[in-house]
Amino acid sequence: MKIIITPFLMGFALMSATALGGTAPNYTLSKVPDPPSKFQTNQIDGMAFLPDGRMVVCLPSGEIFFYHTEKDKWHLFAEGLHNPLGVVVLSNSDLVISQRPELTRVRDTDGDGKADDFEVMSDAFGMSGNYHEFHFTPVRDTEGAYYFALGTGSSGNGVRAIVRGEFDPRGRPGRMHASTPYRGCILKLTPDGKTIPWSYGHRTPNGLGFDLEGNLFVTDNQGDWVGSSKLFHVREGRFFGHAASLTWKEGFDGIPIETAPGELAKIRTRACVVFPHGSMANSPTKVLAITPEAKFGPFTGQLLVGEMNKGRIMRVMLEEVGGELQGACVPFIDGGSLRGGCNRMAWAPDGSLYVGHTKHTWAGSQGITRVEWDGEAPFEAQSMNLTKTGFRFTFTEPVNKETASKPETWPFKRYYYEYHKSYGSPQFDVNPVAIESIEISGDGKVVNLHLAELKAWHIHDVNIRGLKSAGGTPLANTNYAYTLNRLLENTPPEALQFGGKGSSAKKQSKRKAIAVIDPRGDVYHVHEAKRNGPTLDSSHGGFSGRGYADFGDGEQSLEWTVKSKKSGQAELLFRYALSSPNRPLKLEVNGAEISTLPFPSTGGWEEWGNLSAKVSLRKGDNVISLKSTGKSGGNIDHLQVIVD
Amino acid sequence: MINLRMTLIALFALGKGFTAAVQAAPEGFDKGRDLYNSAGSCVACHMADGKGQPGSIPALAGSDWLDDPNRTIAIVLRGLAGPVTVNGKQFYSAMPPQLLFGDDQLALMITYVNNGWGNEGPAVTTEQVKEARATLPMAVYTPHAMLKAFPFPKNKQKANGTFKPDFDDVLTTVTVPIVYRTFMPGASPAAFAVALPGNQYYCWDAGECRLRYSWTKGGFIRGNRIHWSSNGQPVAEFNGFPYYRARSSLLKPEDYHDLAKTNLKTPFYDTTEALDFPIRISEEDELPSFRGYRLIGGYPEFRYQVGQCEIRELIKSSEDHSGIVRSFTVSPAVPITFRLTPDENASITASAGSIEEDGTLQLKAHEAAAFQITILEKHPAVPATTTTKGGNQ
Repeated sequence: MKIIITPFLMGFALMSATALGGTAPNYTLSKVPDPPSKFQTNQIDGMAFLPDGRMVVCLPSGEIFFYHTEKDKWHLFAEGLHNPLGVVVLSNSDLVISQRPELTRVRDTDGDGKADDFEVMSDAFGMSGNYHEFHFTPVRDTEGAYYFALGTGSSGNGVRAIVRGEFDPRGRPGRMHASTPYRGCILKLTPDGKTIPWSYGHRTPNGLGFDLEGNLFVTDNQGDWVGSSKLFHVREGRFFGHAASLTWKEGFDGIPIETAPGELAKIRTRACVVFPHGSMANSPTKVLAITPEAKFGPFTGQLLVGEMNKGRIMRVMLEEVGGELQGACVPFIDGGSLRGGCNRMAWAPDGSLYVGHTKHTWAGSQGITRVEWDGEAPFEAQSMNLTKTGFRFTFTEPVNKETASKPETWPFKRYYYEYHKSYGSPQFDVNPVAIESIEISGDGKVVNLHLAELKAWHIHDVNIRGLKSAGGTPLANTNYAYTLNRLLENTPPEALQFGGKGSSAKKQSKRKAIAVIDPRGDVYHVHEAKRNGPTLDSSHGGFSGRGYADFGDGEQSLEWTVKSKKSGQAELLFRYALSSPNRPLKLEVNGAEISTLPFPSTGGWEEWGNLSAKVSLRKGDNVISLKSTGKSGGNIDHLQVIVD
Repeated sequence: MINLRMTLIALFALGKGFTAAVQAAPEGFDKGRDLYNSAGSCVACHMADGKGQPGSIPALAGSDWLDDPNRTIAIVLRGLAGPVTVNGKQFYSAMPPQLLFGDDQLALMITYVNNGWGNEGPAVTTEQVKEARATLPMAVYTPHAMLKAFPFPKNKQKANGTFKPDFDDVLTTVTVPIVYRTFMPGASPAAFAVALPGNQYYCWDAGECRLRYSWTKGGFIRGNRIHWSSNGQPVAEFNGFPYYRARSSLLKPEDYHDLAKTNLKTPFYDTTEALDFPIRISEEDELPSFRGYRLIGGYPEFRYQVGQCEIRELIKSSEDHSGIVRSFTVSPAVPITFRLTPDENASITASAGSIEEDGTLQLKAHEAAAFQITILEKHPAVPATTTTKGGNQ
């Protein structure tokens, strides 16, 4: 859950027929009936199964429902909780729920099927009252300790008049803030009832989960200090990069936002997986291990990670290299009838996967999806492992050796995201990596790729579009991104890969007038565009040119003439701000309607985001226009054109 | 149209023998303006320019509600809580009864409002206010009741002055307790909103383990969809206003509107500074810690720890539904000092011990083991003279 979103890049890539993946035909999706909330919300913020087989869901309304999947019967167990975002099941009548103010034990003690006792398990953390201070997804380890994740506050709003817990102004400046204790931290509640800060440096840690070995993981969403979304291996005392929570780290005396990024880069622990923004994930969610009981294909022990911005559940394959976990991610259950906002996941007793969708005004959806596997292995890479000279893919079926042996089947590129205070990061040091040789095992299932170079601290990203199985089946999902931090031998010292300087709080508050522009491509400001209706306005800060185009009601349009040096694919980035829900605009290129772009809310009129669309341009002048679709549009700052 | 109506009303008033005028600056206009603009008066909400505050406080300048001075007097004397349409714009009115002003002062203020900012309405007399104060029912009006008693003229019935709110639980009868944890105005972010059978409502703050306020008119918090399905930012709203607010040394009464804001740079205070916890069990100020709550017949019984003692608190409507009864237990039982804060709109009594003038209640150990505090809304009453302050005996 975060504010700036470029959610539809993949959607358009799919529309332009450059298929990057999809759900293998071995998985069937079905819609589960909605819970009968009296507030008419069916966003799912917590999900688990009871020992008796019923499903538990938590809704934003504070209602907790049980669902009998076979009888299709809903039962209201508890209500009145404050934005519950996760649940641990202790018994059929005993739950532990994370809600804004507490970790709360919710029990039915008199056996009437309704919760009657709400016991504080931990409220040893602060609340500034900022809406973005979510309390995410508790998990319980085998010793009975709980871990829960506290979101930071958003600059999209401030703090309340009375805050709970100590207020420390050192944590207040910055885009996402941590002005009360342990915002941006994972907390541990020990079995003897002590709450201790366990790790630091989290921004929007919407999803904790254990692997089968008991390692704890958490995701984070792209934003300030998070160049692209990530998966972290959580360990005690670690700092994972988002500066604000350092306010609450013992021994850290400075003001986090004013600390030189180079110094912070030295103390941060890298992600074990980076999800490339746009192509892989923009707002990852829950982490769920594929258990031996799950009926989900030959992937036991791997992790599933949900994604908010599109209908996607990723698969993560980790391995230990140089004493730390790292590995690859790939879309897995992807697109089709899978709605966006894949927020929560749980295994049903029959081994099928239930997915709860949410949105909370961001990109996403609502309701529940069930995913069943037919028992036949899909054609996927079962694993991707680092070797001394490249990567080894192990497939679930023999590959077509002719396609697999062609270097062009494996178009590797590598890059990194910068560590800095500003929002997101472009990719740096983007370079293709040549394939030197390919070995295919006798059974055709293992492909060893020797790369011309392996560069530590870089993501190695490949889209294996051309690969088919020996039987001619196309690979279900083709885009693998391996976060190569450490090599098997001779890993160079960690590349700090930071940018920018620490700035004073004062400068920070003036930041509004500075626009951060993606360094790629040409920018076409709106004052250079032909405006048929929209006015050039400048009352909200953060625009990049002389102002932004303020769409009004009725038929209005904006029209840019852009030059392209060649014909071919181009990415259009529309920078815009929108406080209200979706205001779609029609995209036309050279008079032809391409699509209606959704323009979801960015969360505020001074919160600028980019919406991406892939189009074909011709050589020379091209006319690109955004037209209203019967209602007003957002505030459009500029168009940026990135030609491939 | 308005001018014509005003003239008719003026004639009607004259016919009844009252002095009235429709001139731009009737007698008392200047005095009325000074009273309107005095501290804590109309100006605090309706602003000096009479334009109100967009979205929350309706304008008085040009207001289509000012067509009947008797209705205006009723609103000022008894208050108005609920959904209103003013000049075509919708508001959730929370106009409190003006208990601090005598009849003559209110007459001057209404006269000013009727004629300020280009308004053209009648002057209002002390006698009119006095008569209304003696005869109007002792309750805050809902818009529905107000417009039944003082309807708009027929040609305005369509606009009708009120609207159907987009939530279902306002102004309805509460039959079972409703408990929501949500952001509430005037409390830390860890707040409860509770509706009780008898249509008493209260806000209890888990951040400081204390009752913040109670109200009854205007319905419970708005359970509209946006509140529950958004990003969680909205602070709950309700249409009435508290008849009782527990005072805190850290908050001034005039801070009330700021207590719903979500966009402050720094807070007024944080709960670690809230050392004025009402219940003291020793010489030292101790911060309480919240332990949870149990639903007993649907009523939440809060439990919190102060020092070695666990305190439980369960709140119900009073028998006649005019207020709330807070039942406490202290375990182990020790002598306590309960710092109650008197409120001019509510009476506070205790089942044991006696409450001193400053609100302090001393209880011996056996009294503290189980006791009740009753908080009843005081009804607006006729003051002894038109110039005394308050008048709520």
